[in-house]
Amino acid sequence: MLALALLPLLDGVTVLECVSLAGLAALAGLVLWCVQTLGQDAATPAAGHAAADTDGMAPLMAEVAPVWGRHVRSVKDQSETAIAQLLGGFSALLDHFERAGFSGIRSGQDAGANGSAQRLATCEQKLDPVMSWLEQMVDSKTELLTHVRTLSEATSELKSLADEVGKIAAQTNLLAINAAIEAARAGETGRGFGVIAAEVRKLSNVSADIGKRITKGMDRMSTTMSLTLESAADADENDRRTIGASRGVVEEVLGHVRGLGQDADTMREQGSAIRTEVEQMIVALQFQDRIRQILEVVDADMERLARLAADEAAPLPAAETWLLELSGKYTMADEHVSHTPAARRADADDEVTFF
Amino acid sequence: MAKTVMIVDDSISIRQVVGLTLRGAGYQVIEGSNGRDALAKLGGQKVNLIVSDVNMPEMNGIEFVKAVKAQPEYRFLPIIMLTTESGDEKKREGQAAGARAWVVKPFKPEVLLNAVQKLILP
Repeated sequence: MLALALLPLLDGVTVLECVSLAGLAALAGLVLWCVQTLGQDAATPAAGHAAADTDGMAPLMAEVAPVWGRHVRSVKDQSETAIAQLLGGFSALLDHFERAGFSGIRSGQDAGANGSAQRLATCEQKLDPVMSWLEQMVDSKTELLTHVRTLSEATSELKSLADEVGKIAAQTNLLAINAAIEAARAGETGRGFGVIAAEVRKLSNVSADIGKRITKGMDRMSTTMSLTLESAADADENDRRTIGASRGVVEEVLGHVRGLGQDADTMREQGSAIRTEVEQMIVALQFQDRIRQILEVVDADMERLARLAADEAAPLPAAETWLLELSGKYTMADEHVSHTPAARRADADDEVTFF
Repeated sequence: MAKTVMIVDDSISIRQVVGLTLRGAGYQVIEGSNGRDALAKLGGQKVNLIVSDVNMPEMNGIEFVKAVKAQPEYRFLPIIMLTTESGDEKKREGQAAGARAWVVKPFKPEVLLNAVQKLILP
Protein backbone atom coordinates (compact mmCIF):
# COMPACT_ATOMS: atom_id res chain seq x y z
CA MET A 1 0.00 0.00 0.00
CA LEU A 2 3.01 2.28 -0.39
CA ALA A 3 1.66 4.25 -3.32
CA LEU A 4 -1.76 4.66 -1.69
CA ALA A 5 -0.06 6.02 1.39
CA LEU A 6 1.54 8.75 -0.76
CA LEU A 7 -1.79 10.03 -2.06
CA PRO A 8 -2.67 12.34 0.86
CA LEU A 9 0.34 14.45 -0.13
CA LEU A 10 -1.84 16.00 -2.78
CA ASP A 11 -4.46 17.14 -0.26
CA GLY A 12 -4.72 20.64 1.11
CA VAL A 13 -3.49 22.54 -1.91
CA THR A 14 -5.11 25.81 -2.99
CA VAL A 15 -7.12 26.33 -6.18
CA LEU A 16 -4.19 28.07 -7.83
CA GLU A 17 -1.90 25.25 -6.83
CA CYS A 18 -4.39 22.78 -8.26
CA VAL A 19 -3.88 24.29 -11.71
CA SER A 20 -0.20 23.63 -11.61
CA LEU A 21 -0.69 20.30 -9.92
CA ALA A 22 -3.06 19.06 -12.62
CA GLY A 23 -0.31 16.85 -13.98
CA LEU A 24 0.05 15.27 -10.60
CA ALA A 25 -3.64 14.39 -10.54
CA ALA A 26 -3.15 12.20 -13.58
CA LEU A 27 -0.16 10.63 -11.93
CA ALA A 28 -2.21 9.93 -8.84
CA GLY A 29 -4.59 7.89 -10.99
CA LEU A 30 -1.68 5.90 -12.30
CA VAL A 31 -0.40 5.35 -8.80
CA LEU A 32 -3.81 4.01 -7.79
CA TRP A 33 -3.70 1.62 -10.68
CA CYS A 34 -0.24 0.53 -9.56
CA VAL A 35 -1.55 -0.07 -6.10
CA GLN A 36 -4.26 -2.32 -7.40
CA THR A 37 -1.75 -4.19 -9.51
CA LEU A 38 0.82 -4.46 -6.79
CA GLY A 39 -1.69 -5.87 -4.40
CA GLN A 40 -1.73 -5.18 -0.77
CA ASP A 41 1.73 -6.31 0.25
CA ALA A 42 3.80 -3.19 -0.21
CA ALA A 43 3.55 -2.53 3.51
CA THR A 44 5.53 -5.66 4.15
CA PRO A 45 9.29 -5.20 3.61
CA ALA A 46 10.92 -7.37 0.94
CA ALA A 47 7.77 -9.40 0.25
CA GLY A 48 6.19 -6.45 -1.64
CA HIS A 49 9.03 -6.21 -4.10
CA ALA A 50 8.89 -9.96 -4.71
CA ALA A 51 5.17 -9.70 -5.43
CA ALA A 52 5.78 -6.81 -7.78
CA ASP A 53 8.44 -8.78 -9.62
CA THR A 54 6.05 -11.68 -9.95
CA ASP A 55 3.50 -9.45 -11.59
CA GLY A 56 6.07 -7.64 -13.71
CA MET A 57 5.29 -4.51 -11.74
CA ALA A 58 8.84 -3.51 -10.87
CA PRO A 59 10.07 -3.23 -14.48
CA LEU A 60 6.90 -1.37 -15.33
CA MET A 61 7.44 1.14 -12.55
CA ALA A 62 11.10 1.50 -13.50
CA GLU A 63 9.90 2.56 -16.94
CA VAL A 64 6.86 4.59 -15.99
CA ALA A 65 8.11 6.49 -12.93
CA PRO A 66 10.76 8.45 -14.87
CA VAL A 67 8.04 9.52 -17.30
CA TRP A 68 5.95 10.73 -14.36
CA GLY A 69 9.00 12.57 -13.14
CA ARG A 70 9.43 14.30 -16.47
CA HIS A 71 5.76 15.34 -16.41
CA VAL A 72 6.17 16.74 -12.91
CA ARG A 73 9.29 18.65 -13.94
CA SER A 74 7.42 19.90 -17.01
CA VAL A 75 4.60 21.19 -14.78
CA LYS A 76 7.18 22.84 -12.53
CA ASP A 77 9.05 24.44 -15.42
CA GLN A 78 5.94 25.59 -17.23
CA SER A 79 4.40 27.13 -14.15
CA GLU A 80 7.70 28.81 -13.29
CA THR A 81 8.02 30.27 -16.79
CA ALA A 82 4.39 31.39 -16.88
CA ILE A 83 4.57 32.99 -13.44
CA ALA A 84 7.82 34.73 -14.38
CA GLN A 85 6.06 36.14 -17.46
CA LEU A 86 3.08 37.21 -15.36
CA LEU A 87 5.39 38.92 -12.88
CA GLY A 88 7.20 40.60 -15.74
CA GLY A 89 3.84 41.83 -17.05
CA PHE A 90 2.80 43.12 -13.65
CA SER A 91 6.15 44.85 -13.24
CA ALA A 92 5.62 46.54 -16.60
CA LEU A 93 2.12 47.59 -15.49
CA LEU A 94 3.54 49.18 -12.35
CA ASP A 95 6.21 50.92 -14.45
CA HIS A 96 3.47 52.35 -16.65
CA PHE A 97 1.72 53.57 -13.51
CA GLU A 98 4.92 55.30 -12.46
CA ARG A 99 5.15 57.03 -15.82
CA ALA A 100 1.44 57.94 -15.76
CA GLY A 101 2.03 59.92 -12.58
CA PHE A 102 0.83 57.42 -9.99
CA SER A 103 4.31 56.75 -8.67
CA GLY A 104 3.60 58.16 -5.21
CA ILE A 105 0.33 56.36 -4.78
CA ARG A 106 1.07 53.51 -2.49
CA SER A 107 -0.56 52.49 0.70
CA GLY A 108 0.72 54.66 3.51
CA GLN A 109 2.07 57.31 1.18
CA ASP A 110 0.74 60.72 0.31
CA ALA A 111 -0.24 61.25 -3.28
CA GLY A 112 2.51 63.81 -3.67
CA ALA A 113 3.15 62.73 -7.20
CA ASN A 114 -0.36 63.64 -8.26
CA GLY A 115 1.02 66.44 -10.39
CA SER A 116 -2.05 66.91 -12.58
CA ALA A 117 -4.44 67.50 -9.69
CA GLN A 118 -2.00 69.86 -8.02
CA ARG A 119 -1.50 71.82 -11.22
CA LEU A 120 -5.27 72.06 -11.72
CA ALA A 121 -5.75 73.28 -8.15
CA THR A 122 -3.04 75.88 -8.80
CA CYS A 123 -4.87 76.98 -11.98
CA GLU A 124 -8.05 77.45 -9.97
CA GLN A 125 -6.22 79.41 -7.28
CA LYS A 126 -4.56 81.63 -9.86
CA LEU A 127 -7.66 82.22 -11.99
CA ASP A 128 -10.07 82.87 -9.15
CA PRO A 129 -8.76 86.36 -8.13
CA VAL A 130 -8.25 87.57 -11.72
CA MET A 131 -11.88 88.77 -11.94
CA SER A 132 -11.57 90.66 -8.67
CA TRP A 133 -8.47 92.40 -10.00
CA LEU A 134 -10.25 93.39 -13.23
CA GLU A 135 -13.27 94.69 -11.29
CA GLN A 136 -10.99 96.72 -9.05
CA MET A 137 -9.41 98.23 -12.17
CA VAL A 138 -12.83 99.23 -13.61
CA ASP A 139 -13.92 100.65 -10.26
CA SER A 140 -10.80 102.82 -10.21
CA LYS A 141 -11.68 104.16 -13.65
CA THR A 142 -15.26 104.89 -12.51
CA GLU A 143 -13.87 106.87 -9.58
CA LEU A 144 -11.71 108.84 -12.00
CA LEU A 145 -14.80 109.51 -14.12
CA THR A 146 -16.60 110.89 -11.07
CA HIS A 147 -13.71 113.30 -10.46
CA VAL A 148 -13.79 114.41 -14.10
CA ARG A 149 -17.55 115.01 -13.81
CA THR A 150 -16.97 117.14 -10.68
CA LEU A 151 -14.33 119.09 -12.60
CA SER A 152 -16.81 119.68 -15.43
CA GLU A 153 -19.36 121.08 -13.00
CA ALA A 154 -16.69 123.38 -11.56
CA THR A 155 -15.97 124.59 -15.11
CA SER A 156 -19.63 125.51 -15.60
CA GLU A 157 -19.51 127.60 -12.45
CA LEU A 158 -16.41 129.36 -13.70
CA LYS A 159 -18.16 130.11 -17.00
CA SER A 160 -21.05 131.68 -15.12
CA LEU A 161 -18.58 133.80 -13.13
CA ALA A 162 -16.98 134.91 -16.39
CA ASP A 163 -20.42 136.00 -17.62
CA GLU A 164 -20.85 138.01 -14.41
CA VAL A 165 -17.52 139.68 -15.05
CA GLY A 166 -18.79 140.71 -18.54
CA LYS A 167 -21.99 142.14 -17.08
CA ILE A 168 -20.05 144.12 -14.42
CA ALA A 169 -17.73 145.46 -17.16
CA ALA A 170 -20.74 146.61 -19.22
CA GLN A 171 -22.30 148.37 -16.25
CA THR A 172 -18.96 149.94 -15.33
CA ASN A 173 -18.63 151.16 -18.93
CA LEU A 174 -22.11 152.65 -18.73
CA LEU A 175 -21.21 154.39 -15.46
CA ALA A 176 -17.99 155.73 -17.03
CA ILE A 177 -19.94 157.15 -19.98
CA ASN A 178 -22.40 158.88 -17.63
CA ALA A 179 -19.46 160.22 -15.56
CA ALA A 180 -17.82 161.60 -18.72
CA ILE A 181 -21.08 163.34 -19.69
CA GLU A 182 -21.41 164.86 -16.24
CA ALA A 183 -17.73 165.95 -16.28
CA ALA A 184 -18.26 167.69 -19.64
CA ARG A 185 -21.33 169.45 -18.31
CA ALA A 186 -19.36 170.70 -15.28
CA GLY A 187 -16.90 172.43 -17.60
CA GLU A 188 -13.41 173.26 -16.50
CA THR A 189 -14.00 171.95 -12.97
CA GLY A 190 -15.10 168.54 -14.22
CA ARG A 191 -12.15 168.13 -16.55
CA GLY A 192 -10.09 166.00 -14.12
CA PHE A 193 -13.14 163.88 -13.37
CA GLY A 194 -13.60 163.44 -17.16
CA VAL A 195 -10.07 162.00 -17.39
CA ILE A 196 -10.83 159.51 -14.60
CA ALA A 197 -14.11 158.54 -16.28
CA ALA A 198 -12.20 157.85 -19.51
CA GLU A 199 -9.70 155.63 -17.67
CA VAL A 200 -12.52 153.75 -15.91
CA ARG A 201 -14.14 153.22 -19.28
CA LYS A 202 -10.88 151.81 -20.66
CA LEU A 203 -10.65 149.48 -17.67
CA SER A 204 -14.24 148.35 -18.11
CA ASN A 205 -13.53 147.60 -21.78
CA VAL A 206 -10.46 145.52 -20.79
CA SER A 207 -12.56 143.71 -18.14
CA ALA A 208 -15.27 143.03 -20.71
CA ASP A 209 -12.66 141.68 -23.13
CA ILE A 210 -11.14 139.44 -20.44
CA GLY A 211 -14.61 138.25 -19.48
CA LYS A 212 -15.28 137.32 -23.13
CA ARG A 213 -11.95 135.48 -23.40
CA ILE A 214 -12.62 133.61 -20.18
CA THR A 215 -16.06 132.67 -21.46
CA LYS A 216 -14.60 131.45 -24.76
CA GLY A 217 -11.92 129.46 -22.92
CA MET A 218 -14.49 127.99 -20.59
CA ASP A 219 -16.68 127.11 -23.57
CA ARG A 220 -13.79 125.22 -25.18
CA MET A 221 -12.95 123.56 -21.88
CA SER A 222 -16.58 122.66 -21.35
CA THR A 223 -16.83 121.11 -24.81
CA THR A 224 -13.67 119.10 -24.20
CA MET A 225 -14.95 118.07 -20.77
CA SER A 226 -18.22 116.93 -22.27
CA LEU A 227 -16.44 114.90 -24.92
CA THR A 228 -14.13 113.46 -22.26
CA LEU A 229 -17.07 112.58 -20.03
CA GLU A 230 -18.91 111.02 -22.95
CA SER A 231 -15.85 108.93 -23.96
CA ALA A 232 -15.16 107.92 -20.35
CA ALA A 233 -18.79 106.90 -19.86
CA ASP A 234 -18.68 104.84 -23.06
CA ALA A 235 -15.37 103.25 -21.97
CA ASP A 236 -16.82 102.50 -18.53
CA GLU A 237 -19.82 100.80 -20.06
CA ASN A 238 -17.59 98.84 -22.44
CA ASP A 239 -15.31 97.82 -19.56
CA ARG A 240 -18.25 96.58 -17.52
CA ARG A 241 -19.61 94.64 -20.50
CA THR A 242 -16.14 93.13 -21.08
CA ILE A 243 -15.81 92.28 -17.41
CA GLY A 244 -19.21 90.59 -17.49
CA ALA A 245 -18.23 88.55 -20.55
CA SER A 246 -14.81 87.74 -19.05
CA ARG A 247 -16.44 86.63 -15.82
CA GLY A 248 -18.56 84.19 -17.82
CA VAL A 249 -15.48 82.83 -19.62
CA VAL A 250 -13.41 82.59 -16.44
CA GLU A 251 -16.28 80.85 -14.60
CA GLU A 252 -16.57 78.40 -17.49
CA VAL A 253 -12.83 77.74 -17.51
CA LEU A 254 -12.87 77.34 -13.74
CA GLY A 255 -15.74 74.89 -14.11
CA HIS A 256 -13.65 72.85 -16.58
CA VAL A 257 -10.65 73.06 -14.27
CA ARG A 258 -12.74 71.84 -11.32
CA GLY A 259 -14.14 69.04 -13.49
CA LEU A 260 -10.63 68.05 -14.54
CA GLY A 261 -9.57 68.14 -10.90
CA GLN A 262 -12.41 65.80 -9.96
CA ASP A 263 -11.50 63.52 -12.88
CA ALA A 264 -7.89 63.55 -11.72
CA ASP A 265 -9.00 62.65 -8.18
CA THR A 266 -11.11 59.79 -9.51
CA MET A 267 -8.23 58.61 -11.69
CA ARG A 268 -5.89 58.79 -8.72
CA GLU A 269 -8.26 56.79 -6.51
CA GLN A 270 -8.90 54.19 -9.20
CA GLY A 271 -5.21 54.07 -10.08
CA SER A 272 -4.35 53.56 -6.46
CA ALA A 273 -6.90 50.74 -6.18
CA ILE A 274 -5.54 49.08 -9.34
CA ARG A 275 -1.99 49.43 -8.11
CA THR A 276 -2.89 47.84 -4.77
CA GLU A 277 -4.63 44.99 -6.59
CA VAL A 278 -1.59 44.42 -8.81
CA GLU A 279 0.73 44.45 -5.80
CA GLN A 280 -1.50 41.93 -4.04
CA MET A 281 -1.50 39.73 -7.13
CA ILE A 282 2.28 39.91 -7.26
CA VAL A 283 2.47 38.86 -3.63
CA ALA A 284 -0.02 36.04 -4.28
CA LEU A 285 2.18 34.73 -7.09
CA GLN A 286 4.65 33.58 -4.45
CA PHE A 287 2.59 30.39 -4.48
CA GLN A 288 4.70 29.31 -7.45
CA ASP A 289 7.78 29.00 -5.23
CA ARG A 290 5.85 26.76 -2.84
CA ILE A 291 4.53 24.63 -5.70
CA ARG A 292 8.04 24.31 -7.06
CA GLN A 293 9.33 23.04 -3.72
CA ILE A 294 6.43 20.59 -3.28
CA LEU A 295 6.95 19.26 -6.81
CA GLU A 296 10.69 18.93 -6.29
CA VAL A 297 10.12 16.74 -3.23
CA VAL A 298 7.47 14.65 -5.02
CA ASP A 299 9.70 14.37 -8.09
CA ALA A 300 12.68 13.22 -6.03
CA ASP A 301 10.49 10.68 -4.25
CA MET A 302 9.16 9.26 -7.52
CA GLU A 303 12.70 9.02 -8.80
CA ARG A 304 13.62 7.13 -5.68
CA LEU A 305 10.67 4.77 -6.21
CA ALA A 306 11.74 4.20 -9.83
CA ARG A 307 15.32 3.42 -8.77
CA LEU A 308 14.07 1.00 -6.16
CA ALA A 309 11.78 -0.69 -8.65
CA ALA A 310 14.65 -1.07 -11.10
CA ASP A 311 16.80 -2.74 -8.48
CA GLU A 312 15.38 -6.24 -8.15
CA ALA A 313 17.61 -7.09 -5.23
CA ALA A 314 16.49 -4.14 -3.15
CA PRO A 315 13.61 -4.79 -0.79
CA LEU A 316 10.66 -2.40 -0.78
CA PRO A 317 10.59 -0.53 2.51
CA ALA A 318 7.53 -0.39 4.74
CA ALA A 319 5.15 2.50 4.01
CA GLU A 320 5.81 3.93 7.47
CA THR A 321 9.55 4.00 6.86
CA TRP A 322 9.13 5.50 3.42
CA LEU A 323 6.78 8.22 4.67
CA LEU A 324 9.06 9.05 7.59
CA GLU A 325 11.97 9.57 5.21
CA LEU A 326 9.76 11.58 2.87
CA SER A 327 8.58 13.92 5.63
CA GLY A 328 12.20 14.55 6.52
CA LYS A 329 12.58 16.33 3.19
CA TYR A 330 9.78 18.81 3.81
CA THR A 331 10.66 22.43 4.33
CA MET A 332 7.18 23.87 4.70
CA ALA A 333 4.52 23.44 7.33
CA ASP A 334 2.01 23.04 4.49
CA GLU A 335 3.79 19.89 3.34
CA HIS A 336 3.50 18.39 6.81
CA VAL A 337 -0.20 19.28 6.87
CA SER A 338 -0.69 17.64 3.45
CA HIS A 339 1.26 14.62 4.67
CA THR A 340 -0.94 14.21 7.73
CA PRO A 341 -4.22 16.04 7.09
CA ALA A 342 -5.47 15.35 10.62
CA ALA A 343 -2.55 17.29 12.10
CA ARG A 344 -3.64 20.81 11.23
CA ARG A 345 -1.28 23.58 12.08
CA ALA A 346 -2.39 25.34 15.26
CA ASP A 347 -0.43 28.56 14.84
CA ALA A 348 0.64 30.55 11.85
CA ASP A 349 4.34 30.93 11.23
CA ASP A 350 5.95 33.94 12.77
CA GLU A 351 6.23 36.51 10.03
CA VAL A 352 9.64 37.68 11.11
CA THR A 353 12.12 36.66 13.78
CA PHE A 354 14.99 38.97 14.68
CA PHE A 355 18.16 37.49 16.18
CA MET B 1 22.29 57.58 -3.11
CA ALA B 2 20.09 54.49 -3.12
CA LYS B 3 21.18 51.62 -0.89
CA THR B 4 21.88 48.25 -2.47
CA VAL B 5 20.24 45.00 -1.43
CA MET B 6 21.29 41.61 -2.80
CA ILE B 7 18.55 39.00 -3.30
CA VAL B 8 19.68 35.38 -3.34
CA ASP B 9 17.05 32.82 -4.35
CA ASP B 10 16.89 30.02 -6.89
CA SER B 11 13.26 30.90 -7.65
CA ILE B 12 12.93 33.53 -10.37
CA SER B 13 9.45 34.44 -9.19
CA ILE B 14 10.63 35.08 -5.63
CA ARG B 15 13.54 37.19 -6.91
CA GLN B 16 11.04 39.17 -8.99
CA VAL B 17 8.59 39.65 -6.11
CA VAL B 18 11.33 40.68 -3.66
CA GLY B 19 12.91 42.88 -6.33
CA LEU B 20 9.61 44.66 -7.00
CA THR B 21 9.06 45.19 -3.29
CA LEU B 22 12.53 46.62 -2.69
CA ARG B 23 12.77 48.69 -5.87
CA GLY B 24 9.36 50.14 -5.08
CA ALA B 25 10.80 51.33 -1.76
CA GLY B 26 13.76 52.95 -3.50
CA TYR B 27 16.47 50.32 -3.08
CA GLN B 28 18.86 49.19 -5.78
CA VAL B 29 18.77 45.43 -6.22
CA ILE B 30 21.29 42.86 -7.39
CA GLU B 31 20.39 39.19 -7.72
CA GLY B 32 22.02 35.81 -7.25
CA SER B 33 20.38 32.51 -8.19
CA ASN B 34 22.12 30.51 -5.44
CA GLY B 35 24.86 30.90 -2.83
CA ARG B 36 27.73 30.27 -5.22
CA ASP B 37 26.38 32.62 -7.88
CA ALA B 38 25.74 35.32 -5.26
CA LEU B 39 29.26 35.01 -3.82
CA ALA B 40 30.71 35.47 -7.29
CA LYS B 41 28.52 38.52 -7.94
CA LEU B 42 29.25 39.99 -4.53
CA GLY B 43 32.95 40.12 -5.38
CA GLY B 44 33.89 42.83 -2.86
CA GLN B 45 31.31 45.34 -4.09
CA LYS B 46 29.40 47.61 -1.71
CA VAL B 47 26.16 46.01 -0.56
CA ASN B 48 24.06 47.31 2.34
CA LEU B 49 22.03 44.15 3.07
CA ILE B 50 21.40 40.62 1.77
CA VAL B 51 18.09 38.77 1.58
CA SER B 52 18.76 35.07 1.08
CA ASP B 53 16.77 31.88 0.67
CA VAL B 54 17.87 28.78 2.59
CA ASN B 55 17.21 25.81 0.32
CA MET B 56 19.10 26.38 -2.91
CA PRO B 57 21.13 24.19 -5.26
CA GLU B 58 24.97 24.30 -5.42
CA MET B 59 25.33 26.31 -2.20
CA ASN B 60 22.49 26.64 0.29
CA GLY B 61 21.64 29.76 2.25
CA ILE B 62 23.32 28.72 5.51
CA GLU B 63 26.60 27.92 3.73
CA PHE B 64 26.31 31.18 1.84
CA VAL B 65 25.87 33.23 5.03
CA LYS B 66 28.91 31.54 6.57
CA ALA B 67 30.96 32.23 3.43
CA VAL B 68 29.92 35.88 3.39
CA LYS B 69 30.60 36.40 7.08
CA ALA B 70 34.05 34.85 6.65
CA GLN B 71 35.03 37.79 4.46
CA PRO B 72 36.27 40.69 6.63
CA GLU B 73 34.57 43.40 4.55
CA TYR B 74 31.18 41.70 4.99
CA ARG B 75 31.60 40.70 8.62
CA PHE B 76 28.95 43.14 9.82
CA LEU B 77 26.74 43.00 6.75
CA PRO B 78 23.13 42.27 7.84
CA ILE B 79 21.56 39.20 6.25
CA ILE B 80 17.87 38.30 6.32
CA MET B 81 16.89 34.71 5.61
CA LEU B 82 13.71 34.53 3.48
CA THR B 83 12.56 30.94 3.35
CA THR B 84 9.63 28.56 3.53
CA GLU B 85 11.40 26.87 6.45
CA SER B 86 9.85 27.84 9.76
CA GLY B 87 11.34 25.24 12.10
CA ASP B 88 13.21 26.44 15.19
CA GLU B 89 16.18 24.19 14.45
CA LYS B 90 16.72 25.79 11.04
CA LYS B 91 16.32 29.25 12.54
CA ARG B 92 19.01 28.43 15.09
CA GLU B 93 21.28 27.29 12.24
CA GLY B 94 20.70 30.59 10.49
CA GLN B 95 21.37 32.58 13.63
CA ALA B 96 24.56 30.62 14.33
CA ALA B 97 25.74 31.27 10.76
CA GLY B 98 25.29 35.01 11.28
CA ALA B 99 21.83 35.88 9.94
CA ARG B 100 20.11 38.80 11.68
CA ALA B 101 16.47 38.00 10.86
CA TRP B 102 14.28 35.17 9.59
CA VAL B 103 11.25 35.89 7.39
CA VAL B 104 8.94 33.03 6.41
CA LYS B 105 7.54 32.75 2.87
CA PRO B 106 5.05 33.67 1.62
CA PHE B 107 5.97 37.08 2.94
CA LYS B 108 4.03 40.29 3.20
CA PRO B 109 5.95 43.10 1.48
CA GLU B 110 5.52 45.45 4.45
CA VAL B 111 6.96 42.82 6.80
CA LEU B 112 10.05 42.31 4.64
CA LEU B 113 10.47 46.06 4.12
CA ASN B 114 10.18 46.66 7.84
CA ALA B 115 12.92 44.09 8.51
CA VAL B 116 15.13 45.58 5.78
CA GLN B 117 14.68 49.13 7.05
CA LYS B 118 15.42 48.01 10.59
CA LEU B 119 18.66 46.23 9.74
CA ILE B 120 20.12 47.97 6.70
CA LEU B 121 23.47 49.63 7.17
CA PRO B 122 23.71 53.40 6.64
